[in-house]
Order: sequence, then structure tokens, then C-alpha cells
Amino acid sequence: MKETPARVAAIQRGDAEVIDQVLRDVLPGLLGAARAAGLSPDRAEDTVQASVLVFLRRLADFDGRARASTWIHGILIHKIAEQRRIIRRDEAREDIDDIIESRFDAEGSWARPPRGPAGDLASSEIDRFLRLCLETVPDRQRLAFELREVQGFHTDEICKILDVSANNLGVLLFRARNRLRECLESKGLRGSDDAHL
Amino acid sequence: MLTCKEVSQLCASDAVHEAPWSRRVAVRLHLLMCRHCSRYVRELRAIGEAARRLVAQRTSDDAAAERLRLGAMDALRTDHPNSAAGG
Repeated sequence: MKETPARVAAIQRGDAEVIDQVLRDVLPGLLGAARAAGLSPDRAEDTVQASVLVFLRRLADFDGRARASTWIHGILIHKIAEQRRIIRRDEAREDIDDIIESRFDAEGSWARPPRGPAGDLASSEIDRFLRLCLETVPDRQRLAFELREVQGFHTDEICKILDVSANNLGVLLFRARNRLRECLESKGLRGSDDAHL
Repeated sequence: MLTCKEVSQLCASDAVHEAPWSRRVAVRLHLLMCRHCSRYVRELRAIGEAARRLVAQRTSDDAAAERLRLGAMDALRTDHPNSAAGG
């Protein structure tokens, strides 16, 4: 997805109407991303504010190669990284990798098939537990998950925002989703189609 | 043939979306035949949907977003006094 030349020009010259629309579109997502990265509500608001001011100061540099939303999210992640060491590139083995490994046999078939929530659950039930499970996910994995699943960024956009390779993003998403799935399964949450099994 | 482990890896990492056409077809076929993997993928989808529902309930951020927007528009008018009226 790209910005139109007209919109790029409007953003560059600081057109109030266009900037206002950009901010309306992007601010809820920026707050969500800051929270997903592990910031408290107050801290998240401060950091988003600082990021938006950087965006406004750099309007003339906006080239439209990425969406404005992607650009501002990148500024935000940079701001967060100044405060916290959140984006590391190491891919050291984590506990979740061993847990996933243990679910398969030597041939790569399921040894312990999934038994988690597959649908038709009372949504209040899964939502309540998901809130708890999200807290157990490491910050940068939760952030990748938020940008992908909640905000719907494309993977190449998230790579730009987080400044990671596609491979690295794949690891973050793989771990985040499996952590959440394992966590919900361990809470005994199941879907409706257990009857068929 | 892809193993279940490979299919789960491709799906959970989103690598399946970037994979060549032949591989995407192989994953699709595997999911049609394998109830465990198809369940796994449905579970991941349900988790994504639940996460989007959770965020829709996060209304406390609406007030913060509005505060930030008004503050930013003030800053914009100070920095770009000649920008088009509006906002």
C-alpha cells in the first residue's frame, strides 16, 4: 500500500486537514502499539505525544514510500527503544520453542494435538483469559502480534516499523501466537468441535 | 509432503503468505486432509479475532487519542502558520 502523490504533497506542506485525518487514523493504533510494547497508560501517552511531535517536525521529509501510518509507527518504536531495550535481534532459544518441539514426534506429526479454543466459545470467556495470557508474552513478541493481528499491518510494513528482517518477524509472530495458544489451552478453553474428536 | 510441524511453522510465522505458489497449495492440501493442523490454524485465527475484540473494548484510549490529536494540531498551527485552514 502506498500514499497518493497528492496526499504526500499535502503532508509535506503540513496541510492541516490532511494531517488531522492522518492523526485521527493513526493515534489509536499508536497508543495500542505503545501499550503492547509494555508501557503504562501514562507512559504510552507521553511517548506517543513525543513521536507525533517528531512526525510534525519532519513532515517535509515524508517521501510516501511507506504509508504515513507505517512511518509514524516507526518513529514511535524508535522512541520506545530509546527508553527500553525492547528490540533485540538475538534469536536465542526460548522455552516456548521447546514446548512446541515436544508437541511433535520425530517424523514431525502431532504427538500432542491442539486442544485449544477453536471457535464458538462464549467470547467473554476467551477474552477474559486472553487478557491474562497477553501479559505473559514478551514485549517485542506482543508488539509484533498487535501490529499484525490487531492493526492489520502487512508483514513488510512491520519489518520497517520494527527494523527487523522478515525471518526475524516470523520468529516473533510464531512465538507470540504459540504462547497465546498454549496459554489458552492450559486454561482449559476449548472450542465447540471437540465433539468430533 | 509437508509434515505437520512444517505446516504449523509456516502458518504461525506468516511465512506461508510469502511462500511460492506451489508451497501455498501444499499447505492448503495438508490443511484439508489433517484435522489436527486445521484445528491448530483455526485456533490461531480465533485468538486473532479475540485480540481484535479486546482492543475494541479499550475505550480509555479514545480520550487519550483525542487529547493527543488536539495538542498536535495546536503544535502544527504554531509550526506551519501558513498551512491550509481546517482541522
